Amino acid sequence: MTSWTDWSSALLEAIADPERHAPSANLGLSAAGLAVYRNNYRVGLIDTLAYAYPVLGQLVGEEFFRALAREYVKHHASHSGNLHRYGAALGDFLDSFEHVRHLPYLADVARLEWRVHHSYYAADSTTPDLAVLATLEPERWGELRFELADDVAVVASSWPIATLWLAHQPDSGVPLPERLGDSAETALVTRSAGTVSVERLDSAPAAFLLALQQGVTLEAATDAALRLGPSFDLQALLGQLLQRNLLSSITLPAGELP
Amino acid sequence: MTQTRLPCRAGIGLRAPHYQQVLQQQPELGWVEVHSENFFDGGLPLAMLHRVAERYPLSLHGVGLGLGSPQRPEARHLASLRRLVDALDPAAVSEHLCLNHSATRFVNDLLPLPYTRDALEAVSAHVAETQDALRRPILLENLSSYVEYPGNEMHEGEFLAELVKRTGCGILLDLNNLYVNQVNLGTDVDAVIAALPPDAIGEIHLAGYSERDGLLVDTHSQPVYAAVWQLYRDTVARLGPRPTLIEWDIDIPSLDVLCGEAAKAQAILQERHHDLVD
Repeated sequence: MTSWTDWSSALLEAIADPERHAPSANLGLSAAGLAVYRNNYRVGLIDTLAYAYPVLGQLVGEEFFRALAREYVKHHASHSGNLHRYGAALGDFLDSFEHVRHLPYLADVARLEWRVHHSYYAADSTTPDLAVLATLEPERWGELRFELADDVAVVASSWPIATLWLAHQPDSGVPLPERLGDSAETALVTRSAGTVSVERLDSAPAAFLLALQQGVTLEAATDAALRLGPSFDLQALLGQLLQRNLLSSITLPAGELP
Repeated sequence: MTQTRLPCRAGIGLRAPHYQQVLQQQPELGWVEVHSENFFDGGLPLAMLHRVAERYPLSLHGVGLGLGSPQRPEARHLASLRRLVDALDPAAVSEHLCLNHSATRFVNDLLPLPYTRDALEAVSAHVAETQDALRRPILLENLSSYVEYPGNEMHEGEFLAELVKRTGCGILLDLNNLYVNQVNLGTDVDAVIAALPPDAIGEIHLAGYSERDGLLVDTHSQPVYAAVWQLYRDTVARLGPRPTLIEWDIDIPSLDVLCGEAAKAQAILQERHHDLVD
């Protein structure tokens, strides 16, 4: 008799990956029963992707979306009991999905939608403790690291992804972009009172926020912004970030205790 | 029934299409139940649930821990559930006695596990770990199954009873699941219910199934069928009244229809209450 652990693993594989795991007869799995679970698995994950990627669905149409989702499900196992975590790699999958090679902006739109989806369910953010500033000489503030809140994200693209996303929101009044090429955009994802918004960032704030997202110091992030916009106003931007609750923490340089 | 603080009344599974309407109209319901994972980790869903919990006794029903898996429950999942339970202090917390993951993959479904002594050792530890993390007992629900381990050493009812004895958990008795198993697998419904310690049964679920290729499938897509209502009447007569929930997850009907189903369950609970009083 197959052990309970081996049988359990074999059942999971037979459901999720039927092409590679035809179950052996001694597992006692009825074909009709297995078919119920295989159908639940495939349809459940495709529906999950459709829920997380509504703009992508509008861009390619429902039928095509479900076909590409089916391919994604074949190649990407679920790694969590929480379905809201499934589908994070769809943007990367589209990079190499030959049937959308003529739509090169799709992958970045998908990456933006994933961050929007993540933001919706993200933990409610904590506010940074500004008291830590007082523990460090102002001339060393450049060594601080500012962390973006969990419901905030910055997504850069060579395509007008923020405008594309906005144009597909009901009642946004934003028209589709006039041209796709030569109109790179960086999108900022935020959440306020539970509603997730996307906005287009100017190039200097975009460079600054992307740098913060990568975890660099305030000084390095400011340098990145100043390279793109010599008139970059750090103080005004930090004021906005704090006022809009977009930062979760301020970290002192290594070795400094609060 | 120390495992829940739910009232002995009928409630509904509250799903997204009805959130706003329930908050606005506040229909007369004994309690409501939601799927825990839909309220991980914050944002609008959680804010809405806080408002619901101000009006109704709340039950958090998990679908993702997979306590019957060979592997331990996922740490981040348990952490999210703990935050939710701490934030809401619900009247009940429940999960399924099911398999959903191995070391390498998850199948986001409620799969049957082998009912063996070895499995019982591991699953008891998973239930205990969960209850320790949440600092409260949970209810475990019996499954609808479409396949079976060929070397079962006990039936699901005996396995649940052992879990109650070893961990102090309670039982969520899903009568539609039992009925579906009776038709599909020939499960002896009476034997399963008879094996369960009556005091540990803290909640009953009712739902409707659909039919596919000669199998009854527990889709929660229909009204409760007559045979399941009869099983419910018999069970309430046998055990006494229990907090009872109507579940409907696919082709979700209007709130009125859903509340109508709950009213039927409520009437059966009251009939029985009369008998007891008389």
